[in-house]
Amino acid sequence: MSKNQMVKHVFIMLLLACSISIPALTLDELQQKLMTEQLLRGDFSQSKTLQIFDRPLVSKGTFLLSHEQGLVWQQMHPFSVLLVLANNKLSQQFADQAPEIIEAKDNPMVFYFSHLFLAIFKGDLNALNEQFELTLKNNNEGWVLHLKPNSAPLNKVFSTIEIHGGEQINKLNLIELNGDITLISFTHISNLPAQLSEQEKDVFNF
Amino acid sequence: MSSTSKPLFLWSFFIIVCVLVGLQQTLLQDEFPVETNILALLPDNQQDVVAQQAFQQIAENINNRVVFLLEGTDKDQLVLAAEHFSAQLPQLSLFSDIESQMADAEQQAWASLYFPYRAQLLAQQSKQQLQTQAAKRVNHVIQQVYNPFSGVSGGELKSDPFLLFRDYLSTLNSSESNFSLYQNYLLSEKQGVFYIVIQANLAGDAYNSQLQAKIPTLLALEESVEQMFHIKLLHTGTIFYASYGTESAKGEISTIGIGSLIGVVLLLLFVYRSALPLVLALFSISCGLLVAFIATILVFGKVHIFSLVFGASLIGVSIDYAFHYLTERLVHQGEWHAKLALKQIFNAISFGLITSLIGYLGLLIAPFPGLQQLSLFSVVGLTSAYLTVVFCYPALTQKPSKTKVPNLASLNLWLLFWHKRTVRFVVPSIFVLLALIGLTQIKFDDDIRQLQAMPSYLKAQEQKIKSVTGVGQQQTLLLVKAESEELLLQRLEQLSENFEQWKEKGDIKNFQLISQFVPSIKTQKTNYQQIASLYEQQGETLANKLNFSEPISFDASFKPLLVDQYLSSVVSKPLGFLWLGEIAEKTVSVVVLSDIKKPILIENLLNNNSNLSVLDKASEISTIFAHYRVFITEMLVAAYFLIALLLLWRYGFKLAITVLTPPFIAGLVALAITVVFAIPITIFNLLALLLVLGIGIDYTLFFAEQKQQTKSENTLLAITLSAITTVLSFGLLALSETQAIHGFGVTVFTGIVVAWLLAPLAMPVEKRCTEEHIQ
Repeated sequence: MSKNQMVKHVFIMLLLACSISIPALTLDELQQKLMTEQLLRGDFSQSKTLQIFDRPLVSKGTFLLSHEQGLVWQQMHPFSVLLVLANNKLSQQFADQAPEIIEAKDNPMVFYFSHLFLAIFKGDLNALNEQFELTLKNNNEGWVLHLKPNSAPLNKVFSTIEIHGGEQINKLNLIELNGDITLISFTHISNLPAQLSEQEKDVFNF
Repeated sequence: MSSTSKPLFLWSFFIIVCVLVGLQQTLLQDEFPVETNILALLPDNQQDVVAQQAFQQIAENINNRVVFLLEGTDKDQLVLAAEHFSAQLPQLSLFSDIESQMADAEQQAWASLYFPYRAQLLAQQSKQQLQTQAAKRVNHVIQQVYNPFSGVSGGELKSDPFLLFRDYLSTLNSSESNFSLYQNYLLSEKQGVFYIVIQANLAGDAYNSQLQAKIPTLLALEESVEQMFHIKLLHTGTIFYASYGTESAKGEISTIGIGSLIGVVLLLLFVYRSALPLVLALFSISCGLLVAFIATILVFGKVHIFSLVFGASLIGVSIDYAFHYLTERLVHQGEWHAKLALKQIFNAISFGLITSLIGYLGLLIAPFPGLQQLSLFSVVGLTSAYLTVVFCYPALTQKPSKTKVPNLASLNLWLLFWHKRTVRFVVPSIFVLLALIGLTQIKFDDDIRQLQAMPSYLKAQEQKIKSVTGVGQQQTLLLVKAESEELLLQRLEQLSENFEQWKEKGDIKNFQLISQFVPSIKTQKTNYQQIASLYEQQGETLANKLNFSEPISFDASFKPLLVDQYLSSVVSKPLGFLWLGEIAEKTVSVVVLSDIKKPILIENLLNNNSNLSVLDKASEISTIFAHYRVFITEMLVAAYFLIALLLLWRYGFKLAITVLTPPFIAGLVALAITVVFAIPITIFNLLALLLVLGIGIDYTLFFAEQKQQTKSENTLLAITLSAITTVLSFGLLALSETQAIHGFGVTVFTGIVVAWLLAPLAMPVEKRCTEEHIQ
């Protein structure tokens, strides 16, 4: 064998070794993985492509997901909005105005969807199992979880929801029956600091 | 056929006919003709036909509901229990309709009902916002679109760019309860305990005895579910109270009926020591009850269980005539002649019957079904017992009694005591004095709750269910009338503003009216215009800010939402019954107010509004009771008066007084005794006084009609026997759980005892000299 051929061989073998070493995940393993990270912070970018819109709506900001406390969604662009979702309360604060607080018992519809979104975000497969058929596919970058809604009202609105991830969830794709798409990507995700700061805890107290 | 046996055969024939009619009316019918609904006793609301009909429709609706509450600490176990329970319930054939899960169709039903009319529907807050700050609506929509939690889809934006419809839907669905949907069940959580509600509608009337008979099977199912899943199952509904009432009344009838019967039998055996008197006495009682029962069914269609309870005590009364005859037979062994004996006592028992009838017949006048039934039952019963004695006894007692005459020495002593003049004045006077003292302290109470037994275990479940579901403990129903559907809706909307203010201040807990679900056409038109102008003014701005590819235009045409559409949707199941529709040329609806803390607010509202009235059956009934309390008092006075006239005619002044005084004093004492037992005076105590008059006067009459030859102690024996049986039967009534019946029993018991004590006052005094001479 020539020197070149030998290098090629080794290269191919290395490649094979590499591809073999990426493990295929099962649903249970994925659930475990996602549930271990109890506190995540990062940036988001949301893009809504709706038929009725000329151009997609884009928003950007930061998020904080605490499995225990809830979700903080700080949008900076195109306008400032602070959304905080705690157990059964939702707070909306537009720019510098007073926050508007909605409780679950006053507005069950709003909470229905927000709980769903939170479950998707957390990767709470147990909760999602009730409303969706779950299919897990592995690919080069990681995994994709397909959620097909199995009952009303979701199956009248969404055709499928995709959760993409590697080490953590990095993309949410909500595809509606009429072709409208909402795509949310997460970047710069970190699980440190592992505790909530005093300021952060305060945000959840409303 | 001898002259004594002819009446016997005639009467026996009549009785056989009655038995046959009785069989036809009871065993051959689908349902035993006994009425258990208390309200069937009561007179209709004559003044307000609308209120009467409204109440009936509402009552039917409310009475048919049953609510189950499942309680547990494990959410999923609870759901399993609910599934199992609701699967088993239909097999009981007790319910026509069971709501456990919110079917998908139902959840969507709200949207499908109102969506076509969204251009005319606005939530209260949206209305205010659009009036003052329409521009802000645009910002609101933008925020919602960008908000990942809001679930705004493209489809929704297309049909409702200003997102007004979802705001409207949420006002409809917000409830005061803490229930949310979990796996399609209505689930609530409080301090770590979970609750699921299941509602059902009865397949018939709550007072239907066939349905009530299925309750034990239901209870068994509940218990098995509780054990299988380790949860607690509570229930509430009119049928449970009705069934309890029926069972307790049945129990009481048995106790009183059997108790009286046993007492009578024992007494008869003890005194007469022979089978014949016993058989005769039972025959007389049975005829009395049988004919009374038949007559009541033929006239009223059904016998109310209340009449049966009182009827059971008739046993002790109707036997007076039998006792008088049988005692004659007992003491006249040697010189026994059946027909003659009857002649001797004929006047006494006939007058006894007439005076009793005078008392009861007065009750037939009033349009009060309960009193009328009672009166008919008693009148027919007494008359039949009397006729049995008169027609049958002579023929059946040709042979003289063989029993040893009992030793009446103790009775003799008692009578001697009464021979003394002083006794004749002093003893009655003492009673009068005591009575007068007591009478100053009497209290009146006309509350209908006197008539209802409220078992605490049922009440506790009802309260728990009410507090968990957030329904107030007390509901007040307001009846609202108007000339048309539209005017009624407008009126309801106006009232709604008042109620909203009261609620905010905490003066009431909650309110429900149909205008919350169907706005008036006037309001819909106003909404329509507001929404149209919103689109006009802000449509372009919104389209630009969100990059709409097509301009936003308002192209809905006005088509009013009407009550009928609401009523035909499945969402109207819980509250649709509040809309009563047309009654007596007015359109009528009911408003439910929960837990009113300040009754004065309602009073003021009613004073300013002639089209408003409170549907409060309980206080309406209490008013009726108060009215009839006065009526019965008048009847009582009239009865005394008529009887006094009769006595005057027959006996002359002095004897008439002595005959009337004991029952009169007995009546006074019976009233006064209520103070000692802390029983408030109700319409039933006054009915009892009628009875005391009717019975008490029998005793004095028997003395007054006593023939020359008869010894006073024989009469006293007859009277004592009747008194004992009467006291037994009414004394047993005093054991009743129902306040009213208990009071009735105590009153009669006291009255009869005093009447018996004072009866010798009417004893022929001429005999005194003869008696003393003999001694």
